[in-house]
Amino acid sequence: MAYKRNDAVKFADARWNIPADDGVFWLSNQSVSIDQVRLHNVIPTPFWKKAPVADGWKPFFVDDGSGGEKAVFQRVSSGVTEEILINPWDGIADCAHFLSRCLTAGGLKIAERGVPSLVNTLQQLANTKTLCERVPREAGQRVIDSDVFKPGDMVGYFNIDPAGDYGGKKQYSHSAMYVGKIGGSTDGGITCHTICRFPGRSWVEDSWWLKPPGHYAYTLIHFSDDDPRPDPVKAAALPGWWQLDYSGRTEYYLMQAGSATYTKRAPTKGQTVVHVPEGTAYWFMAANGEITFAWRKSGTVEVWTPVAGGGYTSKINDATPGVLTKLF
Amino acid sequence: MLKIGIIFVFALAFSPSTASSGQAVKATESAPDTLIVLQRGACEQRCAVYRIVIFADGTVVYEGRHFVRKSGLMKTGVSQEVLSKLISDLEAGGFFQLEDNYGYGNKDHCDSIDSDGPAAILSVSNRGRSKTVLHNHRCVGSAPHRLTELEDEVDRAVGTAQWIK
Repeated sequence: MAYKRNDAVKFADARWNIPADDGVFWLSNQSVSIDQVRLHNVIPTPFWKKAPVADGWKPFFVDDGSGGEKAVFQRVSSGVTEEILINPWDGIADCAHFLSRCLTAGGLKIAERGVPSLVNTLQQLANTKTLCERVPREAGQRVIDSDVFKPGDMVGYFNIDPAGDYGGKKQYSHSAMYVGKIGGSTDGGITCHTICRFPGRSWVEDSWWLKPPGHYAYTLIHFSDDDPRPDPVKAAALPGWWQLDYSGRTEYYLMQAGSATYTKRAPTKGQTVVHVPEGTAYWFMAANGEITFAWRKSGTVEVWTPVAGGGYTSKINDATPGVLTKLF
Repeated sequence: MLKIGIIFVFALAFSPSTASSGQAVKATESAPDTLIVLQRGACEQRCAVYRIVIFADGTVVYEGRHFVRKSGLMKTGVSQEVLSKLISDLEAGGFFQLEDNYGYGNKDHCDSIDSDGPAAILSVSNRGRSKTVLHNHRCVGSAPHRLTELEDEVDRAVGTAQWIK
């Protein structure tokens, strides 16, 4: 089933600071059913109190005043907001679960609770393309600014800080859904749980990069169902070997349908495989014939612009020009 | 104040008299009122959430709560030498002269505020003195940095890393 990115973002917008539609949120070691915790001390906690629906109590995640969040029931009585604590900041871990529900709202069947498994599952889907993998912030920003990456696409956060997530383990430790450049943002914003975010409403940083350099490497996963179809005539002329000369260097691209690999070794006649590629990319053709490459390992964004009379010119990271020659 | 109350209930529940050591305190051991409690809270980076309590006889109770390798309660111990050195280090580090609060509800001693950081509460009782310091690790500054070193010293003395990483 095709991914309906707008439905996923709409779902996230509506539930950015409340438990997802399955009536559950996750702690590090258990799920918490909202229906159950209203009437029973299921976590359990010493501060638990009943919060019946009939008395007007509704669940929220709210700012805990010290940089984290807490799960609470709230109701407004005589103009005053009353609150019952469900769980303090300690242990709330609802990010992969919330995103699974967002993706489900977008028509996918995803039910992951852990971030590494969510990222892995997304990368294995037939309708996703990993545009860049574990790249620094500036590389991720290039990919986002290329406009190939769209609202509803996903961001995986790989911890690279020895003093960072989960005691500094080098693994995917957070995930989020990109929602676009909302409210004048030039970088682009994300939505997620733990901590709850949606651009314009978050009480913490909600730019897609989340933290200063040194904390995360970023993986951008793009759903490709609604990518523009390349012009069939122009696309048919692409497969084969191309030579790129730029900044005194020469590289060789093996172009295939929708993807490319490159090597520094000149190909031999009839060669159809790059055995040890220096890099791989997905390419996307716009209506005007311009081709954007997102190189996975480096986050390099390369644009091929058609020239009169046939062929293309190359520009790498919007700066370095290159000369392209079709070989065979 | 709720959290401080919880610390002492926790400490009383696992005091040596109920923890089966049952030995009289020797004159060479730490002062009998010695009690060190370190409680670390959550952060967005999934910091380990746990508590450790060190009693005068060296008994240590660890409770791993979230994002730790070992969850639940565990009883262990440190030698009198380790405990004495820890007390000395806390004194030398000026623990009893610290403020009661760094970064909780005020930014008086923070040069800047980090985007993320856990809470830590360190309580020390020894030779008639008792002090509890609330520390929001988002608070960056020289005094909070010194406090972080003292908190880490408590972890190192107990060897907490083996249960949380």
